[in-house]
Amino acid sequence: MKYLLIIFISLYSSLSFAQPNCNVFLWEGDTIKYNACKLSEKFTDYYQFDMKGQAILDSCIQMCPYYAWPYFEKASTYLKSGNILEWDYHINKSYEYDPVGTLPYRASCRAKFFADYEGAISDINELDSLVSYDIGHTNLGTYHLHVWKGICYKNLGKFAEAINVIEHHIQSRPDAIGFYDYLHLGVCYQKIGRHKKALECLEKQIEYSDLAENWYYSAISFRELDKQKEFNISINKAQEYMSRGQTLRGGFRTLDDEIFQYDLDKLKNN
Amino acid sequence: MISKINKTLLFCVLLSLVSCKTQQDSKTPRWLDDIQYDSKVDKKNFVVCDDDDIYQYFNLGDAIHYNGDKPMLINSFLQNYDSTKVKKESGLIRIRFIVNCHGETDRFRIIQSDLNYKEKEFDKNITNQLMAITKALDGWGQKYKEDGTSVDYWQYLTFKIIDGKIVKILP
Repeated sequence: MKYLLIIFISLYSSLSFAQPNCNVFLWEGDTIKYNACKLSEKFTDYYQFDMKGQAILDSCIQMCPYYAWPYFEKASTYLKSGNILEWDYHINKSYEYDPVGTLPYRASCRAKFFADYEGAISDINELDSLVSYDIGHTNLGTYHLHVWKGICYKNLGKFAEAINVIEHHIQSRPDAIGFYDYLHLGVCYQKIGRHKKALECLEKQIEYSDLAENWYYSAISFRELDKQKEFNISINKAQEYMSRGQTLRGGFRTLDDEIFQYDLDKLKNN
Repeated sequence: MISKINKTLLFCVLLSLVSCKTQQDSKTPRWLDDIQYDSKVDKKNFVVCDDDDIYQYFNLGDAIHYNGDKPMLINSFLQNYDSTKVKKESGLIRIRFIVNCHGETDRFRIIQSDLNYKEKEFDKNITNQLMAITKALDGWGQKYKEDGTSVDYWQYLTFKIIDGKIVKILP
């Protein structure tokens, strides 16, 4: 599993915004963009942070300043070094020349890496207004962007809006329910004191991905409902799962609603 | 004999030129956003085990590899950061540094922006506190390659500040 994650992370860059088929630009009659695109193919020979690869992206930009892809790739690299200013400059340039291609990634990363939930919601709404087809998923494919919008509302403390958006997605797209959608929905219900509804969601979550988080949040709701026996079962399950590493874990960031041993200990001792 | 001495001298001169070139090359960053040693701000005795191969934080393992995990790291800031003595400013502050193969840290660098990602300079009472607390963090875990060798890695912390208070620590 660990190695699978490492392989996935190494592929992350190329997954986030696939390199275009250069022939498209040729068919459109744009030979400048076509040439820049052909040059940009050499970037994939290098590790993303390698200055030689970055120099290729710079040459592409010099050759065709309105070609979005090299800006996007540079933004992605700066994001990973936490370089707020360079990230913003390059992702906005990418957006300027390819808003539809850039908005899913910008919406994902604004929330994930800068806690800019308003910015992410605004990007998702804009994308929704620009396309007539399914707006798609966050950059790693974990969440549908509508659910991501709900998670952003949740992080802003707007739980009713979050519930509304996530419930709507689950009902309208039962074929596109994500691995953790019910977990976050359950936590939203819990935050507004609807513990029975929270437990329903957390039980459904087991079908999609059974994690320590599931049992941890269930334990909280059982305690609120004065169900000591169920609380004990849940907290023990959460500990069992935590001990064997069956939890949410992210290589790039701490995930939404992720828990740690510290959180479990705190709940046990309160 | 003279010719042999000349050849030796020529060899030494060429060797010194090559050495100079190598030293210059080593100052050219190989990776994007590499932080070079700066004698004015960095510790002289800080050891980077392999300067040519510093990993990114996400290359091996968890995003925050810290003793007690992210909650312990957050606690360090909650306990030591005093928001009552700072200006009520808002924005993002990123501090990036190296965790070496022994789990020690140095080469701290800071970037600051407003909430629209535009460069700004925060009240020094905010940045100095964040920098001091970050420098004092001593629970960073070592990260290992598959062959068991511990590596150096780049780590960063981004602080979202609202009205002088820390509201989120990322990633």
